[in-house]
Order: sequence, then C-alpha cells, then structure tokens
Amino acid sequence: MSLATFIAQLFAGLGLAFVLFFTAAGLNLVWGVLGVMNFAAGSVYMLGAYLTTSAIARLGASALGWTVALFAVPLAVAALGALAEVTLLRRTYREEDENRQFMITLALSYLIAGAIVLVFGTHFRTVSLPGALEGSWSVLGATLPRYTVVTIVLGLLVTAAIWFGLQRTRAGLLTRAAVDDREMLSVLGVDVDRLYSAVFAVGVGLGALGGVLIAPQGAVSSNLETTALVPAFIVVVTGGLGNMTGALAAALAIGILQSFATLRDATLAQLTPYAVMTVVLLARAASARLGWSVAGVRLRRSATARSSAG
Amino acid sequence: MVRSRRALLADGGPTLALLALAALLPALASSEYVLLAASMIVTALVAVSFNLLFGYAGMFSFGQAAFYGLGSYTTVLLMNEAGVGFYLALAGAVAVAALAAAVSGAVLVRMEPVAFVMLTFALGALLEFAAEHSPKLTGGDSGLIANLPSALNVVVEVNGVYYAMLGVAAAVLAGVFVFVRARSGLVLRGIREDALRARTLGVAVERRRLGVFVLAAGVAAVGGGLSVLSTQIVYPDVFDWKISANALIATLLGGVGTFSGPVVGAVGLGLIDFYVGKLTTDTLLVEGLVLLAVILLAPRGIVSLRRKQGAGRRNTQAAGGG
Repeated sequence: MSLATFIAQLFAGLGLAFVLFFTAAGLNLVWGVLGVMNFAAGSVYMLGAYLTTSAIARLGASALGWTVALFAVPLAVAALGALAEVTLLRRTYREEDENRQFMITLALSYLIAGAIVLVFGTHFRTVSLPGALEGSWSVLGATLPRYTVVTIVLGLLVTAAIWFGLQRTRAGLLTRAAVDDREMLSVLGVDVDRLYSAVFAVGVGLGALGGVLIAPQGAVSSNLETTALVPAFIVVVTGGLGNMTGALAAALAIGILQSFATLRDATLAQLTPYAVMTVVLLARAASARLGWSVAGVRLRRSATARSSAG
Repeated sequence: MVRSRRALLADGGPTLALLALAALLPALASSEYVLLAASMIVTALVAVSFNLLFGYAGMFSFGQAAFYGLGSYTTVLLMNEAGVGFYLALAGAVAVAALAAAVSGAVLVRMEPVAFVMLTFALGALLEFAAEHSPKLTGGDSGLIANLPSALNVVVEVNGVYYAMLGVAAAVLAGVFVFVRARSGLVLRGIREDALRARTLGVAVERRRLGVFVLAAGVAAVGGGLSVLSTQIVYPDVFDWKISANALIATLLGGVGTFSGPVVGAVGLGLIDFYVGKLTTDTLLVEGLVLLAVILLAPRGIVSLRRKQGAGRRNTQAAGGG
C-alpha cells in the first residue's frame, strides 16, 4: 500500500469514526445519566439528515446555508428531545423500570420515522455541498476530499467540547454526579429534572449532528435509522456502557479498520464493527481477572444500580 | 405454583378460545379475514417466543426476528434444494435456529441486560445483511420463492394452508403451555425475580437462560416457517427489527408474563393494523402511538384488565398466575 493510499484511507476512516462517535456519545450520555438505552438514537440521526436536506433546500447549498444547518438542525432536534423527555420519559423514572423507558424510546423512534415518511415521503433525498467544500486537497500525494477533512476537524472540536464540558464545567460535574447518585444531587438542591432533560437533549442533539454530517455523503433514506443504530450499539458495547473514552477508542478503531477493509472487499468491510466487537469482548472476558481498566471519562452507573445480579 | 383448574383456565383460556374461533373462521368470514388470521398466527408465535424470554425469564431480546428469519429461509431452502416436504423442512428449520441460538446464546445470555438487548438487535441486523449479500443462497433482495406443493399453495387452497398453519401453531402453543406451567417455568420466573437468589438455591442460571433462549428461537423459527406458507416468498426483511418490535408490542398489548398475553396481543395488533391499514398508510405512526398508549396506560396489557388489583390477587399473579 502506498503512503498516499494509506493517508487517504486513514482520513476516510477518521471521518467515519467521528460520525459513529457522535451517535455513540449520545447513547452513552443518555445511558449514563438517565439509565435509558435510547433506541430513538437512530431515528434522530435520520431526522438530522432529513432536516438538513430541508434546510439546505431552503437556504441554498452555500457556506452560509450549511453553517446555519450545522447549528440549527441539532438544536431543533435537541429541543424536540427535551420535549419528549419532559412529556414521556419523566413520568417513568419513579418506577425504576428501565425496560419501560427503553420501550418509550422505541415508540419515539416509530413516531419520528412515521413523521419523516409523512412529511418527506419514501423517496430518498440528496443534498449538495457548498462549492468551497467540493473537491479535494492533495496531501503527500493522497487525495483527501475536502468534506472529509472538515468532518474530522468538526469531529475533533465537538469531541473536545464534550470532554471539556464533562470534565471542566459545572454542568458536566453535575452530570457526572447524577450518574452516581441522583437522589443526593436533588437533596443538594439541584434541579435534577431539568438536568435530565438537558442531558437527553444534548444526547439527541449529538445524534442529529451525526446525521447532518452524513447527509452529503450519500442518499438520505429511511435506511439510515438502522445503519446508524447498529454500529452505534456496537461502539457502545465495545467501548463499555457509559464509557466515553472507550466509545471514542472503539469508534476510531472501527472507523479506521473499516476504511482499510473497504480496500479489500467493500461488502465484507461492513462487518468490521461485528469483528472488532467480538475480538474486544473476548479479550475483555479473558483478561477480566487481571483487573485492568482504562482511565478516562466514564459515565458508569454504579454496580448496584438495577443489575440483574445474575 | 397454582395448579388449580381455575388458574390453568385463566392462563390458557383466552388462547383456547381464540384457537377455537380461528378453527371456525373459514366458515364465518371471507378469505380476506382468513389470510389476516394466518398472519396473526405467525405474529402470535413470534410474540410467544419473545414473551418466553422477556415475560418469563426476564431477558429482553430484541432479535427474535433473527430466528424467525432463519426459520423462513431454512424452510424454503430445504424444500427447494433438498426436495424435502414442508413439515420436515420446518423441523429442519427449527433445528437450525436452535443451533444458531445455542451458539450465539452461549455468549449472549451472559451479558448484562442492556448489552443483551443491543446485541440481539445487532444479531438480526447481521443476518439481514448476510441475507441481502448472499444472492446465490438467498436470492438477495429479489427474494427466494418457495416451491410449495399445490396442497400448500395459498392461492390454490387457502383453507388447507390455513388449517395446516393453525394445527402446527396449536401444537407449538400447547408445548409452550406445558413448559411454562411446569417446574421449568417456575424456575425461570425465579431467575427473573432474583437471579442471585436462584443461584444460591442451586439453579444453574446460565444453563436455564440458554435453554429458554434456544426454546424461544425454535418457536420463532416455527413462526418463520409457517409464514412461508402464506407469503410463498422470503425476502431479507424477514430479519427486520420491526418484526422483533411487533412481537414486543403484541406481548405488551396482550399482557407480559402471561401465557395468553402474546396471543391476545397478536390478535389485537393484527386487527389494529388491518383496520388502520384500510384508512391510512401511516402505519408507523399508529404503531408508535399504540405502543406509547400501552406503555403509559395499560402496561400490564389486555389480559390483566380482567383481574382485580386486590393484594390477594396480586400475590397469586406473582406467584403462579403467569
């Protein structure tokens, strides 16, 4: 493999990895804090993509249009998420039944998908990039699509923002505290209800952001829901539930490996997430006794919280 | 466990009534409804499969479609390629699904509940991907047409096909009923309530979980195989997660953890889809609303609506009425 090919595939893989990470990060946030496995993550990703096609259709595929879409779409979806959380999920927290909460997110995914079909129909949509982002740059002989580079830069920025937000801001501190002990947090006078809504909104907004970034890369269709959700689930399980650093590592591994695998066989490459997950799970089981753990940003529910103990 | 005749009747009664009604249906209604009932039979089996895991064993599987699909494809492949008769092909399909469940389950049943949900979901997606990309085996997106003998051709002989499906389904349901009413069912519910306590009582928790996982896969595979009779062609979307989700909705609607719940729910959901389908094509929205309504308003499902919520009754329900 030449250096040029290597660099090109590496960058493509990084682009893929960040889109994966956003949805997985959203899942981890919602899981870590609210204890809900948000099945609607796939449909909000899809919603983000569809809304982007609408936004660009109205604003034009210019740099301005895209900048607006980049901010407006995730914010809009986040607002919808907050609304859903307040009206639907909030009433189930009392019952400590995470299955019911999961089912509510399942129902939400049906509603979102149904709404998309209602508004956009069943035909796929496409969206084009602003002129400045089309084409590619040549780096060390490698052809790097400009859009991929922009995706990676954005990915790095958002990832840094997530890390910074969780580790260095008061909101992040409260979020991490809520993972450990919601009751104590409310005893200390924090409005936990609002915190939960905010976290859910951010988690959903992140998923939508992934959808915005993926929109120009192919056809936007109802398939997006599943094609987003399965790799995201795999990233979350591979990285460890609630483990942000793990999710990033898993997303990078899967994205980059899949990108290189595409050189060999484009179809089989799509099985890369499964392969990586299997290897990691087996390795984890084998080394469980060694007690190693990776330091990093962990949103971990305590071991006593609703485990099956079985 | 309450072995009283009353409890048995409460548990299996609704299913028996529905089966009886189903048997009389061709004489009472047009073939449009017979075909609807045929699809309800299939949905009921997948829902029963889901409920075995979720309602009885406390294992939330979001991938019963994987075994349903395996059942469909294996049945057709055995008939087409091996020239085997339908019933034998169906048995083969059950064996294949059971094997797949045994292999995947060995890993899956040990995972924590959330991972189990996500990975069973991923299993279905994996199989759907495999089916789409193996055109030589499965025909890919063009589907795989079943070579059915004319006696089992739904276009030729709707009632014959219908009674074949009903007969097989009734036999399977009877088997499941015996299983859940016996000690095995009780042990599973014990595991669901408190796995640690069950383990200290000497229950081989992983083995039991794997066992019910395999059993549920077999039931789902029967559903898949029977569906071939009415659809006569198998597409990769037979692995679609919406089939797993429908099983969930049906079970929730009818009553989780009860024997008849999934069956009643499958009938209810089938009726809703049927009549809504006549009014509009927005089935996704309707199903989402139905699910939401059931979760928020009647989380114990239709079957439980008849039971009074007194403390004594609740104990019975928890102890043996499931």
